[in-house]
Amino acid sequence: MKNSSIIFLFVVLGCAGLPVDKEYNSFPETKDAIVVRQARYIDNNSTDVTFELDLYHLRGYDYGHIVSSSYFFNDYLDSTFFTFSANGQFKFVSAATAKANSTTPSSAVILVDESGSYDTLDQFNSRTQGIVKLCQDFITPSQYMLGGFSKNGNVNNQPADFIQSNLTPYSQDQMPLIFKLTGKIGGKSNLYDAVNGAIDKFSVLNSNKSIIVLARTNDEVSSSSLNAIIAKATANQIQVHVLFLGTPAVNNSLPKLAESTGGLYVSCPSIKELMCAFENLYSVLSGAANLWRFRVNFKPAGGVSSGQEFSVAIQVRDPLYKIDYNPIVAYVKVP
Amino acid sequence: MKRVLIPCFIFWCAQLQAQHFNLGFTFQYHILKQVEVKNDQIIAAHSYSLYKVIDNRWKFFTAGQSLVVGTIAQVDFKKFYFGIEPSFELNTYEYLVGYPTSSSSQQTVRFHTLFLQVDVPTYVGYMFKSSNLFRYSVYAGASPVIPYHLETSVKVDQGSADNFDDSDLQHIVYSTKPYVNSVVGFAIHYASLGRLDIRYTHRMNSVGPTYQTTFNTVGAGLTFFLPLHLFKKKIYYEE
Repeated sequence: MKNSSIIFLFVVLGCAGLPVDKEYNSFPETKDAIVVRQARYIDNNSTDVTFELDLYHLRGYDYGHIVSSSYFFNDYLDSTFFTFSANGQFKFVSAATAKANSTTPSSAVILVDESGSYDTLDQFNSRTQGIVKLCQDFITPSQYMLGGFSKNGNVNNQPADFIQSNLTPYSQDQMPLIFKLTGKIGGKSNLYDAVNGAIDKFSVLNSNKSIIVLARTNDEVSSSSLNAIIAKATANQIQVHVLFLGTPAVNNSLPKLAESTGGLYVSCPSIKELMCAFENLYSVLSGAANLWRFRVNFKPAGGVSSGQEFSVAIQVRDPLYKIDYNPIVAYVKVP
Repeated sequence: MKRVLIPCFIFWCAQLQAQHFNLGFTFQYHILKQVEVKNDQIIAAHSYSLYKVIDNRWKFFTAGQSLVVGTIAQVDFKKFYFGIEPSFELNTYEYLVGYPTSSSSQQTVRFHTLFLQVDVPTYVGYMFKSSNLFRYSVYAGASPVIPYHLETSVKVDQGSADNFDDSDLQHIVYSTKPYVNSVVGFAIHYASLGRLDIRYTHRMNSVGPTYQTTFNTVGAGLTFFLPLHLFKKKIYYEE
């Protein structure tokens, strides 16, 4: 009788599930995202140019899931996944895995595009949870500064409205301020001016400096030029990483901004890819896993000349499982 | 063990000049509840969400319900009585919060908890009026509670509940730690056969250290006493 009671008790406890005192953080649904960590010029002659793509294939989850603070799954990529769309011929020279250099963003300015509207792109405001996750990754000694940017909208200070006065590690009292950004949507994008202002936020004491930009459109009303802020960022050894949400414009200048400064670029057609990027961004920038490195030879129809720029749009599809991933863009400039 | 305890208890009652000692069963249903978080915002415990406090109202049924089945031991001392009710309680709470989606709109998020609890309400009552058949009393006391977690869930009015974690309000509106409720009630006694009562319970302390949270419940109970006459003298209303 006593044994039966013990067995009954175990069955009841088992059916009731795990105790609720558990330590973890969960994250909304995500979708696989292909990230261009770097697009690098290798060499050229008068007819063709060779460049390298460093890519991550971040795994997404079809449901809410528990996040890992220091690990992410870099899924499989193959050269058969890629379809190039540019006027010319492409040839894969090599494909390999490589260990990324550790570029822990110990100092970062995070800029969130507050222009226009997120009603169709992110109706239920998942992005703010992604931003909170990214900010929470910046614990001592890393530090960050978060701001929203737009012009002629609801952002109080120009070119960007920051929640802190200087770079700090994350603390919980910043969370309500991060969510306050949700209420400042409107106006036009002044992305270049915001990046230009963000560069000035760093001091000479900061190391591994980066600017992380969430953008939903190309720049619309800035007085700064793209080339000027690229030159300024490069001179200050600042990488500009761009997470683009939405359908990229034909003349999308943002891959150039990211890849010219050594930053990463990820194009997110839906909020799920963006959430995947937010979940893993800190680990990606820390060089926490091997990356996929593809060397590509491109023979453009008009030949190659010094100073020439190429923006190569690449569709990514797993031919075996017939899965379409987010498109990527490789920006290459011939010296 | 029972063979020792019950005679000891009766002996103790006799020493204290108790006039009745009754054993019985109690059934209660609590339908009017209030959960109140005294803050404007709640930082989620297990996701990256921030919730707005939007609904601290008293509500029938929709703030949760409790079903209680228990035993009762009651000792009468003239106009006073002492009662103890070791009980099982199936306790649910529902708490609504808002998740901001834009400057002017928010998503309503509904958190639901289900606990199986052991309650031991212990109280002292005072009978203030009687007739041949009915007596009326008020009582007050405390109720230690040992909760056992069965389930938590989260629902949203639109969109996906995957954006939130069902344990986001852990240590804010629920936890598995024992706690104490205060209890006050009004009872109508029917001879020595049973009683009908309405009781109000209030949780004595907050669930966790971060947020001040209060829980209030109003319910009704029906108690039947067994005709055991374990210990009986003429009581004041029979004299």
